[in-house]
Amino acid sequence: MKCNTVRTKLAGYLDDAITGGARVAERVQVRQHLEGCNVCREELERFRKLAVMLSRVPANVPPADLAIRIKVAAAQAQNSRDWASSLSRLPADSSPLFLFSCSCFR
Amino acid sequence: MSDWASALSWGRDEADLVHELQAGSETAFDWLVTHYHGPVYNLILGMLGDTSDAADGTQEVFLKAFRGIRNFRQGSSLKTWLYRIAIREALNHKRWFKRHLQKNVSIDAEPEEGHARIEIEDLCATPFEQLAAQEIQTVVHGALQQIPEIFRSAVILRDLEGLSYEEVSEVLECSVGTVKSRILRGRRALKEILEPLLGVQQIHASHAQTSSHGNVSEARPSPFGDAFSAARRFTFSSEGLTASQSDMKSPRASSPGEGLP
Repeated sequence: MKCNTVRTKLAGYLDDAITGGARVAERVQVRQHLEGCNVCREELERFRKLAVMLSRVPANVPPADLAIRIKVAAAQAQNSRDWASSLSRLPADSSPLFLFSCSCFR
Repeated sequence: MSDWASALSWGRDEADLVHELQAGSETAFDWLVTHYHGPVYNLILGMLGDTSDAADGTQEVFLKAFRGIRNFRQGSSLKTWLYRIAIREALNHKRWFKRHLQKNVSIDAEPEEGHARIEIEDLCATPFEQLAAQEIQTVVHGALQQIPEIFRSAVILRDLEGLSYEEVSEVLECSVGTVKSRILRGRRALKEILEPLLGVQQIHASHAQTSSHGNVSEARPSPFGDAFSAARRFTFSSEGLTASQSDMKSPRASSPGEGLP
């Protein structure tokens, strides 16, 4: 296996994400190549550092009020749904004036 | 959000939680929001790169989950279901944004007055460690914004959120093979952007070793020094990666943007 081919595999070498039908055979070929190629080993080292860097990206803290905002919005959505379903249970011949009055007292 | 909800662990299995949610239990929804709003927020922030959009998107994800929980299939994972809604929400937001506003996002942009750009979670770290973590976070998020979103979502889910390939394939609704292919291409693109950073630790280590022999005490530098600004100078285009200023010292062995569409 040549350097150019090996380098297309290195991004997935560390966590076994090499794609293709003959994955095991390819891993063996990549490993054999790495044993004798400093340049590709250095390239693999860069991917290892990238993996470490990505795994160490700290989680962002959501805004302190986000959870309560979601809860309030969900409660409002629930109320709207209850209101809509109560309207749908009204008799079909309810007068528009009655429906308007209901919406005013909502 | 009630305080007890954050301390409460859902002692029963997820099927019970889903059942409670489908029955309209406020406690179950409280638990869901408490435990998943952070990861969902982080996922959307990684996709969009804007804290305000991420907060709005997170709210929308939970409202959609609230409305759609009755259609949730038993046997699926709640986490991957929420993440799927979040990815769709982020992509929809991005499309809407492109159509209507075309706002340019710069990783060097200053946060709005009164709004911190990003808050770091690890409050126990030393100021130096917090600074290093913040720099890593800023540069990685900046780099993520430069790669195509189809690769970005796969890399975030796998390498930042730690999902398995099977879980990523469930979230993105594509085969494991496709997921792996996207992740490989995303990692290659990220490596190209972050190249100055990936070799710099050795330089700093050797610098530290050299300076340890001297007696001059200096203010502690940024842990990655100029590499961060060098990483920022890269831009990603459909043709591949280009350095906006040609001051990169180590030429890459492989061609830029190799394997990218």
